[in-house]
Amino acid sequence: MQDGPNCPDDENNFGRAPAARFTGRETVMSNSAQKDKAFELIPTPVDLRKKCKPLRGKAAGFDPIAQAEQELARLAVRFDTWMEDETVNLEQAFAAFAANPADEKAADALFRSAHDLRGQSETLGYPLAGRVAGNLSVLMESAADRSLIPPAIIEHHVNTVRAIVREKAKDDQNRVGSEIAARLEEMASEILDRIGRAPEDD
Amino acid sequence: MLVADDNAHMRRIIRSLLHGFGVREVAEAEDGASALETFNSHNPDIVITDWAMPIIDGLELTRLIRNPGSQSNPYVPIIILTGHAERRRVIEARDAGVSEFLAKPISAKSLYGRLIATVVNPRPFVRTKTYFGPDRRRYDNPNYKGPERRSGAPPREPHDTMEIDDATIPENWG
Repeated sequence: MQDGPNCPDDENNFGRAPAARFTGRETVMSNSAQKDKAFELIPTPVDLRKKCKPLRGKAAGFDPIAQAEQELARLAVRFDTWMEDETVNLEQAFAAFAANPADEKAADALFRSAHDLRGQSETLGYPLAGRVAGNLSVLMESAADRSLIPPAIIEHHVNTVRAIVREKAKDDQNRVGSEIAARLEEMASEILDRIGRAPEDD
Repeated sequence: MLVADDNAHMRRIIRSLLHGFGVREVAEAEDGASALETFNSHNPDIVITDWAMPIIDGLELTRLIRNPGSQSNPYVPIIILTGHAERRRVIEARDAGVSEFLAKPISAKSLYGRLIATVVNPRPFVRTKTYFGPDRRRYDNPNYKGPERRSGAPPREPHDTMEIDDATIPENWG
């Protein structure tokens, strides 16, 4: 992290307790200490605070968060185009999946595309699209057998994302878009009830 | 700093945020395999990785980096980004050796907070028979009634073994 942000100190720790300080490698034995039951606590070998340097030309009151938000705002002129790109990716991934629902790679690609949209749509200014894409990713992830998901419900999700982007129906303030999103959530839940949910890892 | 994400737009967003924070050197990787290669060639101070990537995902990347002896710096702070905000995901990431968990959508504030945590409050590492990674206990919990994993006891079911405090839970935790 060269020439990084003003080095934060222990007072700027976001409310967390200060980290334990260790002077060297220590081996800590449990109460019922036995040699083969040891665990080892190892201090991090690199102190990243020493790698932080004051930024050249920045005033003492430099606000890194505000600066980053400005950087993001400068990028925002591209967000509509990026949403269009992501929507095309979703459509293409769906087309590949629909051609062969048993193809795990195609299913994975469709899931990742929906999942990407879920994660970044809000940042790109389209939270409603993120809600719909998120529901699609949950549907695909939760189904015990993704090949049993009716392609029509996936297509509804894809088409809804497309419509949201086309109409710039960006958030829940858009009544029609919001109602469609809610209905898709109900339908996905009903389908999962019918085809079966994958057991959770836990 | 290394940013691994298969989505070019997300990499660009993260890079912009990092530049805003004052980070000047950012390497990018578009999948887990190239991230591992870049990790060993660039020796970054911090790794930011997406969870969902093809072939080698962010969790597997973390496990590979935390494999003592096989990588250049198994102690590197790893921040994982994910659209998954479920508690079990947080636990799964933590057990893989992730340092910080950041649920999407990311913001300048949330990313900065995770970076600060890795710089100011680095957790010591723990090595047991079954785990190598950041200390999963952020504080001594006197009320902890679970088995003592560090004594070498067989691991319990993942959920039962976790002690998670609010600092671990994503900001937008429901």
